[in-house]
Amino acid sequence: MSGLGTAFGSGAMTNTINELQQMGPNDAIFAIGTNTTECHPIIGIRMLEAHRRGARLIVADPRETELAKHADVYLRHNPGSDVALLNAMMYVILTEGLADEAFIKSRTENFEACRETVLKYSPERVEGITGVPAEKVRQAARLFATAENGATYYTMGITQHTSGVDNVLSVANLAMLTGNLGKPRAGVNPLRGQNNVQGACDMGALPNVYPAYQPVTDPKVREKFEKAWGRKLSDKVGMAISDVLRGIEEGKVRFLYVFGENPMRSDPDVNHVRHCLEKVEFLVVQDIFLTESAAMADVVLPGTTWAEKDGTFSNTERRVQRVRQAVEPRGNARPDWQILRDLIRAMGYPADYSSPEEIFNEIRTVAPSYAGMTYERLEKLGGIHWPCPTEEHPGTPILHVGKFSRGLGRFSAVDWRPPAELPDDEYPLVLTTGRRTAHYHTGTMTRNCWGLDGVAPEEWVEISPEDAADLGIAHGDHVRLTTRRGSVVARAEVTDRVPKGVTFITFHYTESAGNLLTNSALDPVSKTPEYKVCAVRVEKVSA
Amino acid sequence: MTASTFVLADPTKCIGCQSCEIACAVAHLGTSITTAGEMEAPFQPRLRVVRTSQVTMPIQCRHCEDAPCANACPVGAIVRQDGVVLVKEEKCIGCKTCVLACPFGAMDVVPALDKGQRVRQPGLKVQTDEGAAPKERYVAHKCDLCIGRPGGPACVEVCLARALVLVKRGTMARSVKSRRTASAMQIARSGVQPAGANR
Repeated sequence: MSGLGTAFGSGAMTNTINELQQMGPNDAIFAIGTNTTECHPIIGIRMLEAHRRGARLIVADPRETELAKHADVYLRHNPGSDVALLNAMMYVILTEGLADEAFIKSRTENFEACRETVLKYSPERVEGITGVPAEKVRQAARLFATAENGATYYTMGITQHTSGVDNVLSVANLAMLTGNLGKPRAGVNPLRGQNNVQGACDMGALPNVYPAYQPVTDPKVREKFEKAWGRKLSDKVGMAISDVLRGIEEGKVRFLYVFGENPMRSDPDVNHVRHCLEKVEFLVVQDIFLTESAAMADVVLPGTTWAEKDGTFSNTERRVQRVRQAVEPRGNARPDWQILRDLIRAMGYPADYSSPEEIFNEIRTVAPSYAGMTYERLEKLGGIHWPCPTEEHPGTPILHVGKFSRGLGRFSAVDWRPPAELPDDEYPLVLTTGRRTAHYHTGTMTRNCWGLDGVAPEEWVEISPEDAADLGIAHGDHVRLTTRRGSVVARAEVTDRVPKGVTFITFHYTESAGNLLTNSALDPVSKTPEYKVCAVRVEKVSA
Repeated sequence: MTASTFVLADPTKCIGCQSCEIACAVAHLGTSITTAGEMEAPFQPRLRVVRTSQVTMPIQCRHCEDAPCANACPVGAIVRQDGVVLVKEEKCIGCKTCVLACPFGAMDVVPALDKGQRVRQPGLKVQTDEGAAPKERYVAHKCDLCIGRPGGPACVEVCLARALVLVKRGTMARSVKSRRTASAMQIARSGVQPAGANR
């Protein structure tokens, strides 16, 4: 979000999912750091369908994903080398005269600085960093730049690095360099991992903004919200999750209220998280199951599942849609909005909301991008893409048409930096993390589903045949993975999906919790942890 | 009797999501999935997704015309009925000969279930220090094309990538005919003549 905000003025997906269904021979799909068929299966299927219709498919990922198997060009780059790879692609585009000069001239700024940096990254020169043969980089760059439209898709493989913001800025540079913004079948498309994570951000569930990304530090904005809510408001930026944990250690944070999140499995370096959650004076967890985090809480508030609640979800493509209650909440579970309303009331604020729609209508009065949406319109149109400023406005499927949200698109000069923790003699392999189709996040819901847990009942760590042979590990063996932070045991899947030197684990399994291992080193700007690279030692466990 | 139909996956479309495995297991469960979860019923799909660096697709029974599994069965527990090669569980003795005989790896021997519940066999007991203990019943397990299911095979119905198809005799005939035509066209275009044709 920080990266795209800097480049375009908006951190959201620029285009829509359905555009994939119009893609054909003149279009290119560039998927980097996204295991789309596994983590966004419907979008992944649409990508493969577009590819069968003739769309070019370029995939960059250290792991040979299903999508990579189908790619016209597959770039297997080393974990954490994204900036070098993207700069090398841009080097080819620049030096071979494939850049969209007209777009750069009329729609962007700061191009010269970017150009100067990119010209240091010839594909041959960075082979040692990326591990990708120069010729492949050239092929990929040409394939993408010569397509009439090129759409870039990415997820956590780009963002969960200490260079996450730099990675995003580089993706933005590439899209601007090729004029692929503000038009259909193009754009920069960060695929969100959850049905409503876009909505949560839209509502200001971030340390620095009110709803609709209005900065807390802007006096005019503060005044507006003080008027709307009838209370004095702080002008200080709040804390990122990592700051909260540090705050607990330093005794500055004494109360923690966690809902719909399981930091004991989803945050990096779980042993440290446990220490913090044990230390905090008062912990409240609101969830639908007694998660590992909820089990540590002083008070557990039972929330409702998706089937029991009413309201809206704002999905990855900025489309706000209705969600309708199918069954009555079980037991003493209550919808989140009612729990929050009663808490706010108990704290002395006259919150008297009687329905999610009433809350939605208040959102419309303070969030300009939601102002034109009513429940009736959402129902009639099957969802509306923000921004939608008035009730006559059709919504905005494609952002930055004719003009970027910030005016001119801003190029950045981005140099490659290595990941925070690299292999050494003691921890000789790279560990990267991700997901499997059957499971969602920490498995709170999916591991309780008979069928989903049935197809993926235990962790299988991926290790290359070469490394497995070196370590005397056979397919199916139990192995111990150890990093500077912790140790877990899982089954070994010996597979070419990962290259020599790289291992892979998910964070779905509480009995083999991947995040006991991960590094909590942060991107300096976005404060996103480096889940995607750390150093690990793997050993066979004797039975 | 006509050639049998069978389910086949297209590896160029399959994304390996395993929805077919879940749909299959649910279709044959004999109870609801919530009940299955509560009683920890074993998860037993009749097709399995193969995933290697070269290929991703589910593998299931081809309902062979002269089925090796049926021919190998010493007790006649595998029959052909309504065009489906079918295991008669009540006759199966769990000898695994069919598993060895199947050239596709489409046969399994698994715990027998009654409404999702494991069952004990009436015959052979397990010898323990405390005497004879009951033994769980195991039976041969394979695709039955969801015989009797109104929507047809559950795996085909659930596949969002449309990677699974029910291959019927007509489908095969059409495909073979179009390939034959394509081959003829290719030979004509290439200008290749059979050896000796110019003599």
